[in-house]
Amino acid sequence: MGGDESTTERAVGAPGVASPLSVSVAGRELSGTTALAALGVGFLLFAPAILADYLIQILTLSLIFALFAISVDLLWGYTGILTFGHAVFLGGGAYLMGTLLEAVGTGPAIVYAGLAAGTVLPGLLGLVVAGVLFSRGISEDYFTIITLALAIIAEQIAVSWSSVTNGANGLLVPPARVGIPGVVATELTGVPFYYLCVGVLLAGYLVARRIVDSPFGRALVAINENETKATALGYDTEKYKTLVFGVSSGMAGFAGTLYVLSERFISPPLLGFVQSTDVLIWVLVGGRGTLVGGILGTISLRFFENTISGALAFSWILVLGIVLILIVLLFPEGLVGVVEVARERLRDRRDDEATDHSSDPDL
Amino acid sequence: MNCLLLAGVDTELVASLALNALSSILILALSALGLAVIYGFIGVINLAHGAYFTVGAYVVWLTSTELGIGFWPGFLLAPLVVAVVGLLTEVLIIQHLYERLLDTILATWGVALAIGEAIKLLFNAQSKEVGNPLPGSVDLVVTTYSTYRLFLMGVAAVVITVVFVLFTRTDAGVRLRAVIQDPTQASLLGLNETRMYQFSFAFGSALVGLAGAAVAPLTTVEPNMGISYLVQSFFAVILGGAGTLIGIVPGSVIVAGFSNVGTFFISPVVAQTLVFLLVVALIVVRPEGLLGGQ
Amino acid sequence: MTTTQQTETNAARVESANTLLRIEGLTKTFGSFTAVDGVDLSVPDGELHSIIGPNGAGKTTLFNMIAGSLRPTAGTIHFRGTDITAVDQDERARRGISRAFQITQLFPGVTVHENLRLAAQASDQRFNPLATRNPDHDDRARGMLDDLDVDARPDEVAANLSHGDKKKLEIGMALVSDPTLLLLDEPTSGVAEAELPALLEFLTDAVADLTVLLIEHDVDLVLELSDRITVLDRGEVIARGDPEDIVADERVQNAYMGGY
Repeated sequence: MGGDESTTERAVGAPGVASPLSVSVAGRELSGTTALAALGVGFLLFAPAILADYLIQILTLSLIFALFAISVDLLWGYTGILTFGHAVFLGGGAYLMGTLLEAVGTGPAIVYAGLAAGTVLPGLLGLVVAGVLFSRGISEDYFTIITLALAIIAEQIAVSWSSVTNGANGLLVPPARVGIPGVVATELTGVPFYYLCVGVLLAGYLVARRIVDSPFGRALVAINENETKATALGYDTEKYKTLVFGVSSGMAGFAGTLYVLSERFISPPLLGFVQSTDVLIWVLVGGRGTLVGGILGTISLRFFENTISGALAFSWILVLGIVLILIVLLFPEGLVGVVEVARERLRDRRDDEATDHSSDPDL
Repeated sequence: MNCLLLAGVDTELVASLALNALSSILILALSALGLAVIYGFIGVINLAHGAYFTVGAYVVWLTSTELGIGFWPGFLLAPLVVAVVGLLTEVLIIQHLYERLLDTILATWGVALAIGEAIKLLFNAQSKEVGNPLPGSVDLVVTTYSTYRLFLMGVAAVVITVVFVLFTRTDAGVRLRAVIQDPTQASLLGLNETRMYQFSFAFGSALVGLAGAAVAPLTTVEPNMGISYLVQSFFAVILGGAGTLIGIVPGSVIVAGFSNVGTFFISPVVAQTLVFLLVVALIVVRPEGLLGGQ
Repeated sequence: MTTTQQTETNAARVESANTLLRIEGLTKTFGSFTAVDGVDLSVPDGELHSIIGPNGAGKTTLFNMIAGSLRPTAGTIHFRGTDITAVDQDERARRGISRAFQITQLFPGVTVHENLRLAAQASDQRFNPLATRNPDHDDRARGMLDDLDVDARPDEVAANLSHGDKKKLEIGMALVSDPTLLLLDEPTSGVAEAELPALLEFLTDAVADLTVLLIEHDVDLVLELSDRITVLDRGEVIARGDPEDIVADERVQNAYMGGY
């Protein structure tokens, strides 16, 4: 290496180009990234010792939402599909699990059935919706509008179909018991449940990381960068987009099932456009196309929302709206992007200093 | 649930149903026209469009209730106020995002959130009422119908017609329309792009502000009232064919017409769902819209 | 059968055995405007066939139809003896029809190496989201990058490349998948004087063993590289033959009068 690294413009935060917190980047100095990642994981592992109980509760739900954010990042950050309705799958998974627990039972077998149904059914729905729309070459704009409408409709249906969803009052769900069906079953709450969520998020992150590094994932990046070229090269772009939408919807549904296990309550807004746009803001602020950005954005914004917002003279949503505008205008690469730029500047300065020293006659 | 048998049709009911549907269609057409100018010309998806609608309604509420000036000053002010808001959005935000149009969706969503919350802050989140400025009804032989609604339909029809005439008969209008059909023409025609963008944003916003002001006496005025008009306006534009202006006519007829009739016969939620499915089906079958793809 | 007929049938048989691309009556109309009108073309294996003509003659439209991004209004396209007229663009690419665009189409936000690797990966349709990458694609990308001899490092972001290097990368991406038929659309357009020799050297080497359809305005290049030339004017074929014949052809000279 040495001091001859030119200050070339990197595609900061862009998928496929190394981001500071990604661990699996060939040929890049890993010390900085691994350190940060270790720090993050360490914080999560030791949080119960540092934070108060109610903060752990908030953090648990943030971890679940972070999984939701990763599913959106796969779709948006990597493939470039902007959806304003992904919460439909989140809420769908939640209502599926919730209905099973409420109507059938709370034993481990039901829980596993709920996890499976809450993942597979939203995933299938996503495949169908995406398959139909993408195969007809619907423009990106129209697709986004349709997903917005989908979220609004879904919430309205959840409100009015009260026989199933208990309408606007929401569904209270009895606590679930996890374990081995017929052998052992315990309710999972508090700190043990928190650690379960940490594990699930880590696993989800690793799976997502594996996906984006695979040929499939690289094809998604190609489609995002230049879909015309990708098609001309031989990529069946419709199929890739449909598949990633299905995977992403399934992941969102899975997060939804965890939501119910955590909160034991679901109401229509979980399916709606506010929830769908919140996750977009989390991913954007954290840094799209990095996976870690989604986790970062979700945890930090939800933290602020739950702690600081009470102290504000005006509403959190107003802050969010302004943050959204500013981020889009000034920091479209999000927090991860800002960190990356800072690291580049530091590295360049270090390299400049090294060159200065190497011209020192005493050496 | 209302069921209407074909035999023994109640002509009065049918007439008022038809008039209700027509007024919904015309209001939506006004809003959709504003969106067609913005989306068709600049290609910006302005998610603040619904918020503009809401601002229009609040202006009217302000003048008729809080400020005590009356409904009509507000009615005239609303398009101007919203035009200013639209212009500000363009100058402060959209203008910087022309290289990355996809991000305008998010930025304008931020604007929508900010406007919604600002309204809540200033006027609190309670829904408001705006009194009917033209109470009473008109005898139309088959039925009697609200004077205000008739007035509203007239205004909407006139404004829409005027806008179409402006775009088809005047020099400036024809040029603008040519650019809507093919944005690469702008520089060839020697037009000042910045001015055109600003003008169309302001103009499109004014139209939806007028729509919001017009609807205010007929519905509850609350901070989120615009979101359904946002979606329906986009549906109307998409159905008719983005890149055309005339497309919003069949688009509005289908979206507002079905929605209105469906709400009466079934229920609001089912009607909205059916409209949504219909729009998706039509888009899937004909992605360029009914009158698009020239 | 007479000897003449026999010879003709033999010739036809020989021709079809070697014919890589056969276009018959290819037509494209946009409303009342006919961009391409009844074009026939038969390209044998290994030929470098140039398509020239004044601006607006329909050359790029023709390319679009061969590549598959545009559906013809009428006519057929046969590739390796199979009718591909209704085959999708991406499928054609996977079958070996590669295209280099006139206005470079790259993946701007990723590295030069990744651009080539993605091009190498394209025909290898893999939908398993958990699969591992095929090192063969990396190898081919590296090999092509060496051949391209661009001024940029492999980990340079493609958007930062000079125009000439971008053109090279565009061609490199079309070649890395070992195509059977290469559609080259104005490879030298917009390239600076200084960068031209390097590009031309690369080009001449690259197309040596390939079947190529070339659109190019650089007359010298066309005459130097082409085995045969087809001249289009207003969507129709007005002349076809080897370079010497075309240069001498009156109709061609007339078409270019006031031409390009």
